[in-house]
Amino acid sequence: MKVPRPIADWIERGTAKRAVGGNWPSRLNRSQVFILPSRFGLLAGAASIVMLLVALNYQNSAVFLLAFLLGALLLVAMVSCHQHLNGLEILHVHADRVFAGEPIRLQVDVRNPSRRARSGLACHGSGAIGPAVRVAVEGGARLELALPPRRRGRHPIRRLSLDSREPFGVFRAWSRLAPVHCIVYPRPAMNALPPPGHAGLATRGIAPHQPEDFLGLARYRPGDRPGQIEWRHYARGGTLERKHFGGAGGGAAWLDFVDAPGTDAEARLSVLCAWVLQAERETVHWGLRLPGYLLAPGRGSQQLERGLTALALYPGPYPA
Amino acid sequence: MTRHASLAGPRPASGRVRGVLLLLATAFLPYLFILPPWVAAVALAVIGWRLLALYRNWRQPGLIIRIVLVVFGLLTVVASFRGFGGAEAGGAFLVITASLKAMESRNLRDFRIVALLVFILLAAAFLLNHSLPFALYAAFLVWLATAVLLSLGEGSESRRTLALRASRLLAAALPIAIALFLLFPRLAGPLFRFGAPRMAAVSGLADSLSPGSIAALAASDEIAFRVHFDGALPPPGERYFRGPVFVHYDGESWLPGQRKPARGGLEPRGEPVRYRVMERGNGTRFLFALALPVQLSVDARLTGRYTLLAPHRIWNDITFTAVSYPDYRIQAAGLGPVARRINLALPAGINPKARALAERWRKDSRSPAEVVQRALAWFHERPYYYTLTPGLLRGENRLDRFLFETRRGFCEHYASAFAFLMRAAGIPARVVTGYAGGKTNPYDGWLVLRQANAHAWDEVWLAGRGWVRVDPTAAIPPGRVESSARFAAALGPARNAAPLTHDWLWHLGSLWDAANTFWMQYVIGYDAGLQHRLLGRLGLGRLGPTLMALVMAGLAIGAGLLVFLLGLMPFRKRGDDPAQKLYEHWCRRLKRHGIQRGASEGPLDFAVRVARLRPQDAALTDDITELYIRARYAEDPSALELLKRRIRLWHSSPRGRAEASTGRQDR
Repeated sequence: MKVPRPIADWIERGTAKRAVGGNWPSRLNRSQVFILPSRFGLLAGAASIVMLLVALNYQNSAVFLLAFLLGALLLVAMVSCHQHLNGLEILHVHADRVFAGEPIRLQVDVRNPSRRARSGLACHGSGAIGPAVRVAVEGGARLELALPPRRRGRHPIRRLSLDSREPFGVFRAWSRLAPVHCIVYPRPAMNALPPPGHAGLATRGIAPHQPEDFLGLARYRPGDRPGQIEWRHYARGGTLERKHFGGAGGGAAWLDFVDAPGTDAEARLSVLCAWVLQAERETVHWGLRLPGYLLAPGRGSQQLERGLTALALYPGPYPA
Repeated sequence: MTRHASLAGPRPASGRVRGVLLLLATAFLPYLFILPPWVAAVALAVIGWRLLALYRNWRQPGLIIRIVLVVFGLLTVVASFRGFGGAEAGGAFLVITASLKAMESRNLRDFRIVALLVFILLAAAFLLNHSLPFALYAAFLVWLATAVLLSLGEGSESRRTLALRASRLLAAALPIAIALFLLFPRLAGPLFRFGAPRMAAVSGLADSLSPGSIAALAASDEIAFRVHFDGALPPPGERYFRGPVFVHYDGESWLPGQRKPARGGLEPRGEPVRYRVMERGNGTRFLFALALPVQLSVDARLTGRYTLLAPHRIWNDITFTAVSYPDYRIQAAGLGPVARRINLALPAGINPKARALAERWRKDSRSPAEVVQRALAWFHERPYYYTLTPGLLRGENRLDRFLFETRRGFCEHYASAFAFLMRAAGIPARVVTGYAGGKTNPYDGWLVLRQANAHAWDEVWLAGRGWVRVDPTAAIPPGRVESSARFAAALGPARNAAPLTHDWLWHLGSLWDAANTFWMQYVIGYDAGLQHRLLGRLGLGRLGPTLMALVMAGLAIGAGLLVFLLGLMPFRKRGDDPAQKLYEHWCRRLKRHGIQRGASEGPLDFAVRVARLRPQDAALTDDITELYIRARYAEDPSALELLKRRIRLWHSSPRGRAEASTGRQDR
């Protein structure tokens, strides 16, 4: 037994209109919580009606009582199921940054402000179901949803909703959440060639500090910027050496689409991704140049996120 | 059933599966008693196999084996119950199907369906047995099934939590169920005419009085019916409840005559007695009323011999009210020649000694009434014994053997011999069976008549007085009663009026019996009539069934909405915690100064705001806030003490007084 297509579409339109969200935290209100009997619930309802008919026919009071008790239990279950969602606070909806080939993990942080525990809360989206979670009285919980790995790019999570089937699984109460996009970064290339040498980059020039004269090689120390490293030496199988310049300033490394080796765009993006991660690991100031996109040099988690997002969204449009 | 994992849900943990299987096994147990035991035994064996399979990781049977098992089960049920109709066959089929469903269940939804089947199994069992003990067991099972259904949910809760949640849900459901039970329109007749389900184990008075037929009942503690009198309890000598009357004697058994409707002849005298009878379904048409009834609340008629007959066999329990005149005369005007002949007829040639004795009495007496007295004196004075085990009397002169040789018998022997003697003496006589005596339950005042109260007595027709009740068994002196006390009931009302042992066990039994009476009268006996009376009391009596249904639907929706709205209200427990009480009190004080704590404002944030608005109180505010937090969340009793003192300080300070006066002005 399946919900007929037009009805399913109608429900979909109605619920999507009342999706919760955008700005978190947000509290689910009555108009945003929907409830329908589950297949098992319909079966249980049918059972109580059959019992009622039997009771009517045989005029058996005990069967009447049992039929009404089952019916009332279903009614109470409906109210209880609705209450598991109604008034729930959604603090935050967040998708972990993820690289192509890794499972997408979505997290919904919720808080239960009421004095009644909420059970069976689960997150649904794109055809997947997360594990059911119980939220204690005035407590919080994190609902998780794991989706299969996707290709690089921006992926909307379709029909994202929170639901509960407790108690008994006879009803399903759910609330739609505003569409959430998950950005899948390119898969970092394994064994990528190092980025082009510092000298080649620096001359293109938006670097904040012009480097001073080259003084020679020195042993690499953790924290040295990749731009300072003598990659060619390293690539020939030598030790990691740092080009030692006069003065304190180190230039910014420019990571350019054009410099990345690879036969197609995906391969280049993969390499760029590896470079970006490496640059960030080595705490170097770095900038990113893609066709039609320029990220000014900088470092830190924001810079990293911007850079990886740009790589994920190539060939655009890019966020401002 | 689909086997698609994502649709039908995951496979539940083995502990949960075990819970469902044990639940189903408990639901099968009562079927051991209400159906032929093999049905439930087979089902229990299947559950046992499934439990073993769970632990040994055996494979579940494939589709073909399942189909074979279902067909085989079905055929067995059809073969052994001779068809498929009737509650017994239906129940057996359900039991077998449920066990097979449990055997093949794999995923969550399967097991939920199994748990749901428990409700249906209970309903089917109620058709065959709706006694209070079974209902209590069923209530336990409903609770268990609720908890098991909950356990099939998210699945990490302890048994205690599950039990608690199940109790809470049931407690919320029960008032709704009771309201529906009381208000749902009851019909006066069945919807469809299937065969009425038979109640299990019927016993009661038979259609003929053959030797031993009442003795078989005497050992039964089963309740035949209960009576509640509006006024005082009639004296024991009047507590005769008339059943079938026998007029034809064939030398062995007494048989009923033709059942003609009564044609008058009943002359009520004295004061009427009003009462209510609750009779157990017994598979016969007999209704038992105090002799003799003139008004009844049920469709029934009096036969020519004043036995009450219902139009159909009574399978379910029935309650009715009646008005009787214990002092009455029937057919006092005279007995027709045909009736006279019938009530004097005896098989020719048998029991010559008894005939001779009767003849002697007749000659020595001036009136038939004197003959009756002589006969009673005979039984009283001669060594006649009352016993349940008189030994079998054989031969055509069996009454002679009883009267002159064995002299040991039961009420049916005495009634039979007495009627024979009277007829032989030319006095029209007949044997009446029914129930006599009974015992009052001290907890609800109902007179309880058990099968052990079944009794046989006689009626003789005397000119000018009509049919007069004579109970020859009562003539046996107590010293000649050879049986345990509980059988004394069958001796007749005068005898068992003397209290038996009134120990605590007896009281407990009475209490239990009162609960049974209530259950039978008000729950099982709740029918269209009772509903009508209840609604009348509520002022809804005038509504027809259609309006009634509308009212009920409205009430149901209203109740649902009420529960719904209650659920929407933010439940905040107030004033539970002494520290919170003190703190809230302080907050109310501050509110008079126009500083109100926001609904979502934490105490620390509030303190900062108070300090900013009232710098002069900053120190005390900080103090109070910190103590409150310590007392409330660290549960530090000393902090609570200090908090009390600080708040008192707040009141006693000039600011407190000033605030009190401004507070008044504000109003």
